[in-house]
Amino acid sequence: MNRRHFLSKTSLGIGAAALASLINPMMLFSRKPDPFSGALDAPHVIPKAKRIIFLFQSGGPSQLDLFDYKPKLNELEGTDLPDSIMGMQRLTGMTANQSSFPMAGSRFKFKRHGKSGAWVSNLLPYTAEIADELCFLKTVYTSEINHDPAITFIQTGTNQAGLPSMGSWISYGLGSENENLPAFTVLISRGTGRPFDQPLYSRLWGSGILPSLHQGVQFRAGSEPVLNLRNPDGMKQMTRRNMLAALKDLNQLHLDEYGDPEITTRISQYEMAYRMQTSVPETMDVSDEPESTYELYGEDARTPGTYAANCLLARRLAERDVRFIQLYHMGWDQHDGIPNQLPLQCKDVDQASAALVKDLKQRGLLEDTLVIWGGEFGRTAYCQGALTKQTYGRDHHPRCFSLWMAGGGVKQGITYGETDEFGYNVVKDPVHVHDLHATILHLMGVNHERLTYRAQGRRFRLTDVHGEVVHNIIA
Amino acid sequence: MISVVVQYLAFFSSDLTLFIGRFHPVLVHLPIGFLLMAFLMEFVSLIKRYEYLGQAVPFVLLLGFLSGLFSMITGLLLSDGGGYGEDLLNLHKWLGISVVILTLAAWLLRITVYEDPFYKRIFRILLTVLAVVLIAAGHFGGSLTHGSDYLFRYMPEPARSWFGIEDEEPEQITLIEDLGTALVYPHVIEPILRARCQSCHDPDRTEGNLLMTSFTYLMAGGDSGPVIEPYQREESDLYRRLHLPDRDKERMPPRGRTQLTADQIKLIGWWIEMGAPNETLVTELEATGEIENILVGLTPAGQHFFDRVTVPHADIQLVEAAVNRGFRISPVAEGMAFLQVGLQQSNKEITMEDMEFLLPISEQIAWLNLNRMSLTPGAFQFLSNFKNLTRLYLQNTNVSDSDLVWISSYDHLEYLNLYGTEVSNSGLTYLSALEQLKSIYLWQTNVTGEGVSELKENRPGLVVNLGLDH
Repeated sequence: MNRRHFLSKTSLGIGAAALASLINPMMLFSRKPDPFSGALDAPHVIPKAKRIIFLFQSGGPSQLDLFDYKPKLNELEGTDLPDSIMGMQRLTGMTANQSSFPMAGSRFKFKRHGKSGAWVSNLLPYTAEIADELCFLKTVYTSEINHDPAITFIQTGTNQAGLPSMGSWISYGLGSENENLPAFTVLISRGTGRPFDQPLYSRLWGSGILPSLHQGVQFRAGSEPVLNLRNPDGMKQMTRRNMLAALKDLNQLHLDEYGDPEITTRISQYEMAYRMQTSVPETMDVSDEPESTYELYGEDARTPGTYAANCLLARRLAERDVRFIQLYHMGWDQHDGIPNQLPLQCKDVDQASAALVKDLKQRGLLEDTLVIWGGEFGRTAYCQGALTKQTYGRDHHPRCFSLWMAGGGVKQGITYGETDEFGYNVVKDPVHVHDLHATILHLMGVNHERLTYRAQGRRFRLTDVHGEVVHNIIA
Repeated sequence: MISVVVQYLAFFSSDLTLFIGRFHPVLVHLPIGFLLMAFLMEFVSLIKRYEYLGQAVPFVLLLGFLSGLFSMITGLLLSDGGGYGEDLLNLHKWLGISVVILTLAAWLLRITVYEDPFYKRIFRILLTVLAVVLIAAGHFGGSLTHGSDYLFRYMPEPARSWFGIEDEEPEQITLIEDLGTALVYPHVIEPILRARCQSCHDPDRTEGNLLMTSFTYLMAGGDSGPVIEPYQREESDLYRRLHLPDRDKERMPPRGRTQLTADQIKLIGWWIEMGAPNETLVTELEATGEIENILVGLTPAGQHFFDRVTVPHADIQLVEAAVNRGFRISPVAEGMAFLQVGLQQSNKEITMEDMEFLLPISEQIAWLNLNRMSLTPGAFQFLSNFKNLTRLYLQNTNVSDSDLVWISSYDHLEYLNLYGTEVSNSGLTYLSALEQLKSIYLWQTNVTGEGVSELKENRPGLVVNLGLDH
């Protein structure tokens, strides 16, 4: 037993538990050494959402061609974006040396939709149909201008790798709602618009400083959705059970001696993995889905590994009370070729995203499931590369981008925030990614300032020292 | 003499008065330190080893007197600027002045007749009295700056109970008895201000020279002018400050205090837009649907379940027993007695014996999630005990029409999910008495449009979801 474990086991463990139970008897029962129960004894406020489905559009979808309608750009197409708008802002190395910054209007038609009159372009007809279910945020902004730091930022609240992903924080704070499945699951699909970009890395759904139990578990397409879960050929279920029981006893001995929380994690993960041998195939087996499912989600949903198939799985996971389900759809990085690439990307996700919202609603799950659709940043009002009749591209734009949310206690059919007529700067109601995080945690019943974890000598939280809850979008 | 100086300075410049006055909180710590030190030295010098300390007492007392004098002058200048509650200020002022006088007396005694055993005794009594008065003066000075509950506000349990300090519950907002006769300021706005603002903006503290204890005072404003600009909520300082970020120094209520809810802020905004009237009937004012909903929420009938109903906390051992049986239980939110209950693992069969574990805590259970569970015959019968359920998840269970009789007399049920069950129209007849029911999910059941319209006949506001194809 080393000093650290001794301290955490004796002074902190017993002392703190005794003190805690003295102060608040409710704490002792929930502070049982069960890694599946959350670190919080109870939500800080009454939760509006019990689970989250984050439809992450990796690469930075062009808000100017999808949601943020700016006719001014079409009007002034080809002329340089005024300096008064661009200011001295930092640009990426990809366009900083451009000799001119011609404005590029969207080639796609915009229309107002639903009673709320939300602007959606004709690239997203299915999304437009459910406009009255959605809450559009037009003024989300981030601190980062490149993919890796910006994705890391929207996932972990900081631009440097190593801190927990949002799903890990939720798993850590609130615990699992179904111990047969991981509380944080990840599903990945490739975009057809730009099939080989950008790469993702598993640290984006890593638990960072939190116990590894809280890391996201990737569900893959194909015969083995979760790697190394299946019994090897020739191993009987009973053999596996006996082996795990013996291993648990050994680990328990070790735990009693050292008190290392990672051992607790290990024991419970073996146990969960054993249960997942049944629960994962049962979840992934879509053969019980009726034909109407595919009418709703689209034919793509029949092909494992597509975004549509992942949306269907997301619904199945949500039905099984998985706390945090994150999808990643790649390929939204349209530096050029927007007219060709963007329709393909939109076709990948449009029908299935809308179907997911509708499907959750008819199952009574939308009331307490928060669905979030958006990327790590937006795209510029000016054209990257040559602006021609046939094509145009847009560079990364962190200063404003659009994102929608549905269900989970968010107002329906509203548009929040306003950008300037060039879609370049925020003019009203900015929502920093930190604010978004604070709001998401708030909807889950968590005060973002009070969900912390101590590591390396200080306490960390998802919103660092920032974040304001956007109360105006909460129903 | 001192008042002459004060008046002279005041005449000279009120800014200068305040400038000098604001050194008071800095200076006061000197006499506190010196005088406590004198007190300590005097009594420690009774011990042979430390006898020599006694010689320094007159010097330390002199320092205490001089610094006390300066503190007193700056204090008087500071009080001239106003902004403090009169009663508390007077108490602090006279205690402070007493400290200076007592110090002078003690010092004089010490340097003159101290050697006489009788006077030595008097001196020590005087010094003790001085220490007590000093601490009292210091304490009330602190209360003036930080508020009278500052020192003990965060005292932990169980010390709180030992000292009889009551928990600082956020003060309840008085409900509106009848919207038809309610007056906008006295019945809607004033209760909010009373609960959230008056603790600082009352005659005791008068923060920022703003009193919020009556309509007239509120309209008169404070140091930074009027806080309400009728018809212009964006121009109103009160409304602006409610919207500042938590971290902003001007944010009201300040960080750490119970904040107004988004709805309460909206009500205040609406009231200002209506011209900030006083005793006008609420019904005479124009209100959007949103404001109307908020107003209804302030009446006893319109209140949310968790505000309307209170239950005692559940016995922890009983909760633990149910958790050990495989239920997942936690309070709906921290500090609340109501519980949310689910199962730790899915696809388990729930027996009557399992349900028995929930019986002793059934009063506390507000949300019950049995999604995808299969219950053995008879287990559904236990549902009749969960009178305080507001959300019941029975989707994809083997619940049958006849089981719905067990939930037919719930008083508070707001959400009922029956999708993916064998329930049919005949089961729905049991649900017509669920007065609080707001949404019901019936996709993939045997319920037909007819059954739904029959149910909706009794409950026009009810949202019934029969699935996308309906």
